[in-house]
Amino acid sequence: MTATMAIPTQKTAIETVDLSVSYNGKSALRNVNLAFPENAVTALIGPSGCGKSTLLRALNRMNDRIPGVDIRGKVLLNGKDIYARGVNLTRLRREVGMVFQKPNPFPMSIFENVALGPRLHYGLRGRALREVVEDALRKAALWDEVKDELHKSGLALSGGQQQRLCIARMLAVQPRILLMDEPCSALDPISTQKIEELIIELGKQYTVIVVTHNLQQAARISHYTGFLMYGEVIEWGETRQLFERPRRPETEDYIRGRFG
Amino acid sequence: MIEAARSKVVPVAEWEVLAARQDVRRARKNALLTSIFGAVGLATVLLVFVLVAIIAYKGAPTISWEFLTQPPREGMSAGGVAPMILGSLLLMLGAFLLATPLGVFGGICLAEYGERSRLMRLMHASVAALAGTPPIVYGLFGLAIFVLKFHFGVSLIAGWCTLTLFCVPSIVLTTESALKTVPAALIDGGLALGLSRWQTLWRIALPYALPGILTGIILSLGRAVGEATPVLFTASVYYSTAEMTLGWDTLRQPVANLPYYLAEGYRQPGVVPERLIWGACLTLIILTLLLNAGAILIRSRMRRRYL
Amino acid sequence: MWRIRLFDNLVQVATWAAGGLLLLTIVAVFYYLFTESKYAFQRQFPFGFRIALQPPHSEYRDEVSMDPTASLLATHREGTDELDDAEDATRLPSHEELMQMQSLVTATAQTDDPNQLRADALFRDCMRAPKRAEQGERFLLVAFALPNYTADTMELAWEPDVSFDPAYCPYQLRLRLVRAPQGVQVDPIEIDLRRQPKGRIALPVWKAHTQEEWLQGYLFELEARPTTSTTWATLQQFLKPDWAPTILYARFGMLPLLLATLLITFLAVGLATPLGLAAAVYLSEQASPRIREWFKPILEILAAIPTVVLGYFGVMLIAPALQQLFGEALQLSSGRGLLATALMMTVFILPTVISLSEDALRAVPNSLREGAEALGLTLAERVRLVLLPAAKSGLMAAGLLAIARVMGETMIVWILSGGTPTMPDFSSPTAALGTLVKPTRGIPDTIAIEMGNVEFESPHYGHLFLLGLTLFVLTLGINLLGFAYRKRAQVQL
Repeated sequence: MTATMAIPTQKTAIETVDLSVSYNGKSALRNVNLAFPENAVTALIGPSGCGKSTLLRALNRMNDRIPGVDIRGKVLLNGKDIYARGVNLTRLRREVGMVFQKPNPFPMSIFENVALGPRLHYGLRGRALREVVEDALRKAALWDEVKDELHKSGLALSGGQQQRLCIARMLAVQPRILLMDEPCSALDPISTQKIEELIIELGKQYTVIVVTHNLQQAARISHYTGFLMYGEVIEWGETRQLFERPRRPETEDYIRGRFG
Repeated sequence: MIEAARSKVVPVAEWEVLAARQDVRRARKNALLTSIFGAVGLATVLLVFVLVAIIAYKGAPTISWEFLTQPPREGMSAGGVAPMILGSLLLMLGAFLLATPLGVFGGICLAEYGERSRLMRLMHASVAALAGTPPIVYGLFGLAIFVLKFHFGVSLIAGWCTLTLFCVPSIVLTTESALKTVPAALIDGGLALGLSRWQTLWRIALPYALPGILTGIILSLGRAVGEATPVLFTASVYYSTAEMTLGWDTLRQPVANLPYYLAEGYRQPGVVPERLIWGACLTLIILTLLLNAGAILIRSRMRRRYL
Repeated sequence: MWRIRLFDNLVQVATWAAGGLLLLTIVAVFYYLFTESKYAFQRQFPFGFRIALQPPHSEYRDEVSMDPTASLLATHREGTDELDDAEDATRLPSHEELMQMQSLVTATAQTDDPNQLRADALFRDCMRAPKRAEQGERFLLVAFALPNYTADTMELAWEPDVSFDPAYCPYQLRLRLVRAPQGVQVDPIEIDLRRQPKGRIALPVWKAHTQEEWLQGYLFELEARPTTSTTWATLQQFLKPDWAPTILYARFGMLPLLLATLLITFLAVGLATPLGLAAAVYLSEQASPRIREWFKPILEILAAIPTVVLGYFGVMLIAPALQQLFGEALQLSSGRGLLATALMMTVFILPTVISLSEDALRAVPNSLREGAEALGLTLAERVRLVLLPAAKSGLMAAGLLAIARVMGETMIVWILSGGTPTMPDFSSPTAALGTLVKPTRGIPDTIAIEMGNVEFESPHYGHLFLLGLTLFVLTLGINLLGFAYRKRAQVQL
């Protein structure tokens, strides 16, 4: 079942064309056609195992190294298929960043965590590097809390701070698209709230795609939502519309909590 | 409030220019390093093949039924290495019988009581340290205690005791780590059924850990077979022309064994022809590899049966 | 039912018994290594000088040899049992002491052949009595010329006995003129034999015409004054750079052995670590699961090769190669030496390094790898910047364990470098190369080699145990450090 395509008034940042992913023969995604709008927050919701994480990871080719994986279809970024031959993965992940469910700061200082990306990708040093690091930490709403302790280990931060550190790390590389795989599910409510606010703010300048199992969260933070089940996109549209007047019965059932 | 100020999204093109040059350099460096890693991996494999091939090539011509079953003749310059093989096997058997119960129960002791008290933690560290102790220290100790102070003389018994001492620490450690891999769920299940701690251990944990324990024992014995140093001055004799007789007095007599044969063969160049040496090398390696292969076999068969 | 109970109780008892035995064993090992070393501290400290009286222009100027027309008499004085300064320096010998003097020179000199009259090593006697460092020794010497002495001066010449090195003697050695013959004017003579082990001093000729006059000659005292206790002396000498336990004036300096062992370890681990790490990275990050499955058994095969066999490899293949390369330049008789040993040690330790490093890398959680990959890092960058730092403790543990194993490995060193103990010399490139390629000896193989020929409970025996104890303590320290690092790695990850 193909979902509706791009919202006409919005530019598309990244889109999938007949994307199908399977692991060792078991299908995880089937014929997904989605166009993610630029500079907006898109949420991907659905029950466990519906393929939303697989879809997210397909956007920066993080599925590639899973043994037994089979990927068909295309994912177009700037009009070019990222699964084409000879695509530079380094460049792809520069443009499409990702944070994970469990914060995974590197075992090094806060500064080093954030500086690693720009130093490698852009060869930045000294003052330019420091500016980029500060900029990223500000964007991730972490600067004020750590600006005097940049040398402290990233692992010494609290869970919420660690996640923001990972976001800052991602932002420092100057991506355009941010992928977030259940970024708040390992955090306490207060940190969750902070990060939700951050996501909304980031959505003004970046294309943010968030996978979440928390319906209320999806409703709070996203402009657009896609609902998946069993590897297929069941419904896709503006968040308000999907939540208040879902078009498909499955969507309605899920939203009303009739199944998890 | 969230401060996203000072953040302008820089046009992508500008950044990409900066990155392009870096990309090429990084890709090149990556290609170089990954090929080096792969090359080293390949070289290691090649090394093993080369070593084994050379030993096989040099030693295979000597291996014959006669070589394996006849004693040396003509003052060690001809004949076979049967007494050496027998001696090595005897040493290993004794060490196995003595070291296994001590090592396995010691490992159980560590696994059960390991972190409880300072004494136990000290013991854990001591066993780890003993496991890494050079085998010659064991030889020295065996000489002082078993050969001399206990008056066993250079004998099979002294060799057994020394080898046991040598094997026990590593058996203890492998047993302990095998027991540690038993899932807590399994143990909880046993306890929930009303089994006592020791019953759970004996009937549930131990069978689960058995492949690992057996592997540890066999590997340890494999090391014992190949090490000359613990038996160097505790159990070894070089010149052995008569057929070995197995009686009670063999216990008090030294035995010939393969690693000692090789070690002494080196010390007296020219006595033993080179082809015999290589034959003995190959025999020793085959013996060790058989043990290792046995360990792997047992491990996989037991895994299939119990899991 | 009761049978089950009994059985399980037995298991419990067996466990406790094993634990107790284990504890006992650990204690016993420590204890006996320690106590058997005590025989080292029962060693003697013999010293020997050759002293002679000769005319100044003897034919064999540089030799110390007795002139047949002069005479030296010597006797034991009482030993110096006290480690203190107080003693009557000027006390003249008693009549009894003088009566015990024995002629040093078996001067039944029928021939004038100086070689026949070489002075006997003066103080051989002292070696027969157990000589602790706290006991000293004193000897009295009377020197005089016989009536047919022709030259116009006499020289008292001395030199250390063959193979005696005063540096290895814990005594202060002093030769002192107690009394000159009546009427002879001579400056006071006091010679520190450690500063001046070889020398000669001129004396005005004094002839003794009758046997009664003999004891009127020059009276010298040679004193070996204790400076330290036996324990300290033994330990000090243990750290000296010469290991020669079988000569008359035995030297038990383990420094060359220790340095050789350390050098081999340094070289072998230095070579094996980058190689092993590279292979481990390949295994854990690049190789497909199928390759990994094959690699492990191959590595186990390598690890299963007995070290005696590796030694033979070295001696049949590596040593001749080195001999070809450097044999001419350095006049080697074989290629066996530190370099050959280190190369085979690398082969020996490689499987251990690879497998431990791979374990350490495996222990790094995948989330770090994913994070690095999502950030756009290449594999090399992931390894260098994220994985290696994260696995640091585990890798340190691996390295330390490898060091300990190499240090203790005996057969490879024995076969590939069993020469004479030599101090490493890096003063020049040629010397450095020589150090690497000439046969030498390390600690473990010295123990193995010499233990076969040593007498039970002799000082040599004790010193071998002391060597074993040193090795044990070194590897113990390294192992414990590695154990601590491994614990740290488990906590971190």
